[in-house]
Amino acid sequence: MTEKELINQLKGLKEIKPRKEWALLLKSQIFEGAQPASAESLSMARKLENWKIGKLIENLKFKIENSFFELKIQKRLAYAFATLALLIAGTFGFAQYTMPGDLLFPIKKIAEQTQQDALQVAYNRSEDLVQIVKENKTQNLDSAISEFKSSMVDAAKKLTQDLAKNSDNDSIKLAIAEVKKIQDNQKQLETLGINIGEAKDLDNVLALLVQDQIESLDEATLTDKQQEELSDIKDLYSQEKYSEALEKILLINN
Amino acid sequence: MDSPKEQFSQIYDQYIDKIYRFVYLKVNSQEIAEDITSNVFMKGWEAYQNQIRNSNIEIRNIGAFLYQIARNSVVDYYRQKGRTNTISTDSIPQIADSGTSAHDKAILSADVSAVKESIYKLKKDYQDILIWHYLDDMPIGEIAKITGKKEGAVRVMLHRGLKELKSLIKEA
Repeated sequence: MTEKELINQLKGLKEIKPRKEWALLLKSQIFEGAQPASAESLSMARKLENWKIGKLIENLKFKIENSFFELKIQKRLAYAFATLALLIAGTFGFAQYTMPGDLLFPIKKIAEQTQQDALQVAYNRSEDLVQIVKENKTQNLDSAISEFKSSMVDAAKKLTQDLAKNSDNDSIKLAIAEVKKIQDNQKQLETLGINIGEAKDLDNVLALLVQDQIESLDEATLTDKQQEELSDIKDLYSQEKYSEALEKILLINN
Repeated sequence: MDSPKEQFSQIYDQYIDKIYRFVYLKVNSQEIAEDITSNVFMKGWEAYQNQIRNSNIEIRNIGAFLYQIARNSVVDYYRQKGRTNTISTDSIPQIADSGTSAHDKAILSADVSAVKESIYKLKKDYQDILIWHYLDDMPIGEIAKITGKKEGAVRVMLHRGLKELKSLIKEA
């Protein structure tokens, strides 16, 4: 090797340079730090830097593990929700076949109240009662009677409110149809030996309605035939056959 | 006019590579070179501030001043460790980082790496003069000022240094 070649190789050592990030860090430390950082403290800084990197990797690892864990939790939650949804759906479905006095009957009641009219609910309770009597489910009888009476009170209230708002022929016709269905069930129950008493609340509503209609018909100009029918209606009213009286009123109005 | 901070910032940018390389070639370890170089510039900045505060102190040649701190710091380092460069070359690989680092391998060719290893084994006085003249492009007059030798003596030392380096490379 010649001297020139050796010098060229020596000059190749110019490639040795400090790490850029270290040089920048040192510069900022020189001017920022009021106290001059010793070699030891810079060594400590390097260790701290390494520790930070280690910590970062550790955190990353933890986050990855955690996300897997969260994924597992989410999966479990999804399964739990699906099971819960199935349970709720199953419970609601099963509750449709319950009778007053059964454990799940309140669920059926809630479902009916949100979906059906008060008169329809009262009719359902009368149907339940008929079925219980027919199947001789004596343990459900008390609850069924109590539910029926309570539903009749609700139906009467609802009917009063509805007729106050809208007492057109169609509404009355629908109400009469429901009342008649309930009355039929009551009759059926009587034949089976069960007397649940008169549905006074509902009758009172119908009575008021019939009374209103009779008063307006009295003031109206009627044909002879209509006059006769009005006389029959008044008879039915006096006999407390309000639904029949209302049916006749509807015929006159038509 | 630039503030002392700005002035020293420019000095830092001008000398950081040179001082680091100078130290690195003497200790053959990136970590130790970084520690010593940090120390050099910290002390340099302190002295620079003192010079501004006290008119009796004057740094005429900041480059020479920094090199002087670096030389002393390297000496201190070896003294502290109980290892000077005068010890047997057989034990050197146990003292410093083992041979050529991955960093060096990435940037230096095999021939240049061999020169680096040999420089490390060279006598301290030869090391300084070869690095200053051939790597830092320092004129002989400047080296003479720093070392307190005559220019002729520096030339002779350069010649002898190259010769010894050559024989060390051959041995390797």
